[in-house]
Amino acid sequence: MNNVNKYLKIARDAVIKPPSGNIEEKIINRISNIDNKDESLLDEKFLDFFKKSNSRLYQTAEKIRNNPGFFAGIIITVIFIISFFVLITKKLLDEGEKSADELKLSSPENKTNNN
Amino acid sequence: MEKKNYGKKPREIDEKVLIAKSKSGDKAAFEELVRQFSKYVYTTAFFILRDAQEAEDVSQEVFVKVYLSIKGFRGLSSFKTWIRKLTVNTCIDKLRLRSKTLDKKISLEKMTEEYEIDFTESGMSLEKSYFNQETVKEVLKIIVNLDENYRIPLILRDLQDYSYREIAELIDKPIGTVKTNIHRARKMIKDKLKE
Repeated sequence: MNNVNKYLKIARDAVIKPPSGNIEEKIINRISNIDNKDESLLDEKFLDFFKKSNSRLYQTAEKIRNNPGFFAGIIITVIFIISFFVLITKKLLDEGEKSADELKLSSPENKTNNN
Repeated sequence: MEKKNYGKKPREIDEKVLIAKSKSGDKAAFEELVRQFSKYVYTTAFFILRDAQEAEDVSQEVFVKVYLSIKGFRGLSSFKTWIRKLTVNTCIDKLRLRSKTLDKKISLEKMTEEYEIDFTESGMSLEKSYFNQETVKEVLKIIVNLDENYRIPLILRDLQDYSYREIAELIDKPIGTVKTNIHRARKMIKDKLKE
């Protein structure tokens, strides 16, 4: 199957030569002769496609829907990183408080008071 | 000050400039876009529809739609992606119409005589050697002759980069069926290449 996949990959660069000659010139001629009737080509279906292709929200949603595993992975990683930093910060703050308490206890003022 | 485009391919830069000019009504710029993408659009339409005349009609229709709407194109995806999706949508609509109105069986013998395959990349890497290109032509001829149920999902997945979900939505089939048909189509190609 690997070979088939390799050939299919190369096949993306393949183009068909139109039998009736120059397709570019035909299209250019067609565009030169556009009239009001052609506006009907921009039907409801096209306008829906056009609206979606111009919507950043829709494009992002599509990307997520096409790769749900990838985006779930990103979210889990972000949550993990945030949790890790919260934990580290909490630990550092706790240690800071602890050492402050210890410092208070071991200060000469405290010692004289104790005596 | 002139904007630098480091890291971007010349074609990418050209494309953006051409789109910008086309948006402002420059017809020559639009004609250049037609020259760059018409064969791609025609090829996509041909593989889906298996009919040279219909592929030409679709190519013209797609570019008329693009011409009439390019002013509103925001460029959230590349122009190639946009025009590819537009072409595929137009072709699927034609197929639906054809299945309702006409006999969809087109003579396959006639097909093989009617088209010639070429390659856009002129630089011959090892991978794209003559032998590979000949085999690819063979693969494409097998694909063109596959039943519609196998051909369309395979083309959309392997040649047009659609996701399984997008294909399922487009052709109104369950995602499982799409996956199975693509797998079967690849196997058919493999088996036919062995013959």
